[in-house]
Amino acid sequence: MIENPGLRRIGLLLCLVWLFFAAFPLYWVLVTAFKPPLAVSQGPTYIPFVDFQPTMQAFRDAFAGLRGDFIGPIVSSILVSVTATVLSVFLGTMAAYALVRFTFRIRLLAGVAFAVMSIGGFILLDSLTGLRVPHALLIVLFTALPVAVWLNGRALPGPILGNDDVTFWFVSQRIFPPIVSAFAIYLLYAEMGKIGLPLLDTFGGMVIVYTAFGLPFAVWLMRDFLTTVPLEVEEAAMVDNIGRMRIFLQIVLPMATPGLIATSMIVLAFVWNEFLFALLLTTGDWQTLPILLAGQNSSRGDEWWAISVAALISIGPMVVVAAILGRMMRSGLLSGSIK
Amino acid sequence: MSHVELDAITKSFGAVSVLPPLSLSVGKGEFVVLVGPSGCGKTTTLRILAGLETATSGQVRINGRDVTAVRPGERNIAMVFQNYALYPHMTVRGNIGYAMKVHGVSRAEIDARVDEAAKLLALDPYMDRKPKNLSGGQRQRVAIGRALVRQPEVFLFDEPLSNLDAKLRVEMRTEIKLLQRRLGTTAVYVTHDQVEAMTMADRVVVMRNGRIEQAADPITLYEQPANRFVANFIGSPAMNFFEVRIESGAILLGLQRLPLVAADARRLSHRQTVIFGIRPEHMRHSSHEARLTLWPEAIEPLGAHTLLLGRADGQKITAQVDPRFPASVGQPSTVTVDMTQAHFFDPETEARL
Amino acid sequence: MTASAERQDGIKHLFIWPAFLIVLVISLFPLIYALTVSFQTVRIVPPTPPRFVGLDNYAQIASSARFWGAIGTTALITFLSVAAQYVLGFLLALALHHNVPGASLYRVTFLLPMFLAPVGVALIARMVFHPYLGPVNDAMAGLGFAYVPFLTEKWPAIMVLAVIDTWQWTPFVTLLMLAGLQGLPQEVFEAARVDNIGAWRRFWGITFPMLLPLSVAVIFIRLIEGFKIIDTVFVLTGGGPGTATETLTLFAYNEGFKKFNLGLTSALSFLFLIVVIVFATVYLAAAQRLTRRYA
Ligand SMILES: Nc1ncnc2c1ncn2[C@@H]1O[C@H](COP(=O)(O)OP(=O)(O)OP(=O)(O)O)[C@@H](O)[C@H]1O
Ligand SMILES: [Mg+2]
Repeated sequence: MIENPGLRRIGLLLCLVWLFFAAFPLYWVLVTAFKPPLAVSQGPTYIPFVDFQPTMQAFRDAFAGLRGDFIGPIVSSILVSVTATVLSVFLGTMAAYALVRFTFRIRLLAGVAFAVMSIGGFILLDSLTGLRVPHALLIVLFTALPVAVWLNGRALPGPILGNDDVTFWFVSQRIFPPIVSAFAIYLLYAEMGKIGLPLLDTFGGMVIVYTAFGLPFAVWLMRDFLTTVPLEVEEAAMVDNIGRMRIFLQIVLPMATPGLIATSMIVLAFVWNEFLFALLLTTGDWQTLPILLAGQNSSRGDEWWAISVAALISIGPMVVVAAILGRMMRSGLLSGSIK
Repeated sequence: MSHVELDAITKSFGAVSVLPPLSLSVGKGEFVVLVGPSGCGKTTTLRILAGLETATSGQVRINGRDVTAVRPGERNIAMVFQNYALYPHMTVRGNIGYAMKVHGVSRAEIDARVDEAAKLLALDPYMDRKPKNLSGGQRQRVAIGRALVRQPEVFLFDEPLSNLDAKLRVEMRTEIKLLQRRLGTTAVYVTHDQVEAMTMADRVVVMRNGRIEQAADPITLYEQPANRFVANFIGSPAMNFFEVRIESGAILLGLQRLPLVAADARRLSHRQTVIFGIRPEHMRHSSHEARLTLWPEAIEPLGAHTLLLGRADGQKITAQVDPRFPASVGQPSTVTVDMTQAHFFDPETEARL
Repeated sequence: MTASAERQDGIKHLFIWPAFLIVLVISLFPLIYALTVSFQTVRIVPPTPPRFVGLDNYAQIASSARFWGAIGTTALITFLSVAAQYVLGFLLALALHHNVPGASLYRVTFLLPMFLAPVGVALIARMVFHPYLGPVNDAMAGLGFAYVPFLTEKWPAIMVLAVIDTWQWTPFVTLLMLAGLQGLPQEVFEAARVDNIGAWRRFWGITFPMLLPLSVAVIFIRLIEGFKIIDTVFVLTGGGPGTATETLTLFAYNEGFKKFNLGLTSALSFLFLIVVIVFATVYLAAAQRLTRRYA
């Protein structure tokens, strides 16, 4: 498109330099995984078959469990991230659909009342009664929420928030530093464990956290994709007496498939790679790959062939994700979702 | 017997009132066309009928039942949309049969009804294609098929042909009309194309700004338009209008005098000024003709006849004359006006006199 | 709206409440809980009953040099890397947008880094930047420079962290800016070309101002995400040497999980939150003024 050959050449040069910069570390981890120990410990070696004789030993060791349990974290990573991705994309798409097709009106005052009631109520319950934390939180939730919903139906004064504000509320969850809620969730989970509902280091506990973690992305991205689904098709179905739920499941979802794929890929990547919550909330059974990786660092020292194998296992699925999104990017699919 | 009834329907979007109270009743088996300029509320009326939009006040009745608060799906109607609104991920067969499948109709019956519709609409060869692999006309036929198989009480069409090319449009409008006649289903059809309205309708409803200006069969509409708006809207090229004075049984267009038919002269004798309307095609010989001189500014030979576009008394005029009519641009040219076909409107209310 | 329309719309609650409740319970209630705890001394090890101490926790943190050090480190790494990401990412997006030869070749490689686990990226960086066994120092030696102890000294370590962040997140900027470029109306550029306006002027006069709102958003996202940094630091330096590379999240983690002083940790996270909010407000206000000047 650009007519100036000088600029074109600079652009090409930039791309090539970046290509090297981006690809070299990946190349390095790939070849290191096949290096025998000597090819690592005697200084850097670069090219397989020239600098060193590649070996599969590191992979064999890893899957034989010689260097700690690999299979466990892989399995839990897959189970947790796939489940959480499916849940958050599905629930997020439902919410996004509601935000695109219906109008919501939320009175600011009702929202403020909810915040005051829940914070105040919890502090009161916590300091005045001997209630356990989860109980106190549940009581607060189940009183403050209905009251707030009821208040929302009254003719309160003050501004009224609309769909955009609701969307913003979802997205704004990403602004909070996760450490703020991470410890609280840890304590909450610990307390839940004490009253007989173990959530720490369990499948359920991780899936809940990651579903909440993925929802802001899902709502935000899917809202944009769903606005491109033509309303008329849904109306045709409504005239044909198809229920809303069925319209959503059998007509809207299939029509939004590219958006669903793109969103799932992005959410999957975030969940697959998440570190902080996994670090705090798991101790053994449900440790995910990032924790295993971080552990390699301290336990392995300079056994880089082994570390590289672990890193490659975590990278593998993401190559597929990047490839799928790369193809979608080329077809201009993502350009709609940045408004 | 009235089958579909809109009773004093109003609709406002926020502060904007789109429909003032509007009442309309459609008889069983009747084909009613809503026509009017863009933005006049045709679609809104149709959507209220379908239940896709809720009327601000008033009642909708179908078959005597008050359906104002009933969901679209339970009104026993079928609708064909302007952009077809096919389910893009289903085949033609899937599209047509989907609603029946959802409602638990047996496989055999679905197949039977889908095949019947396919045959009727000549869709057999495309049954396993997806909508994106069909032409516009084929898509529209699928949309019609989808409406057909539901065997509804009422068909609703919202400009179903406006995305098709001119030739296909002519074909399809005959097809739809024949189909409706054969099935005897009540139909409400929205268009802004007056030719479509005139050719398809049992009764045409001309709308403006949410109001019904006139509802009548096509010929009545053409011969006795209720007001200047309808007269202007129906007919192509459009009717010529002049504000004229009345003097001793004739109208005065500037210095030209056109004698009135006796009945008209009597009727209008007490008036000073009227709006005189004459269709371009009524500039021809007749039992009662008047001579009118005009200055052509453009001459459009169309083969079967020629259009003179010019001015008379400084006002625009279009005359439809014989192909070999002697006229040239810039030279005054005299045509005969068939005064038995003259229309008169009140200058204030614009209503027919 | 009339009653019947309301009734038909009732199903919207079914659509939105599951997502709403999950986010509420998992994001907001812990926040309330943490807020309460931040006014108390809560210790798990050794277990002590909670005691209300008012703002003591906050005062203690605000007066600790380590907290301010962590803010400085976090801000430094974030600003350095976001600046680099934005400039590089935008340039790459421009190059890709103008169909530099072989664009399809780079696409996956360009995208990939942002989809990798930061922990894994840090591990790779550890190998690459190893003082004796890594290729970077090998190359430097080849060029005649001295070995740099990248990970055990403060400034090199901070630079390495910024480089890693840039490596990982420039693709994000490229992706969004490219989408923005593709969405720009083509006529404007054609008109400018017809008027014989040079590429440089075209960029500063048209492209840049038109993409300014998107730029503001992209930089905002990256800054907010950048402030959360822990994974790479955790693996690469553990905050060391000493606390020289400790970021806010890592500080909170160390405080909470090594000392189990939860009141203090919660107060710390809230101060962190306040820092982020103040910072976001200032940034958005400044960005708004900038955008208005261009608009
Ligand atoms: N959802 C809406 N919100 C606000 N105004 C609307 C809405 N839908 C329609 N209108 C307004 O109502 C009026 C009638 O619209 P309607 O779609 O019924 O017109 P129409 O006769 O079908 O026109 P066309 O021939 O262009 O389709 C228009 O002025 C339009 O702007
Ligand atoms: Mg319309």
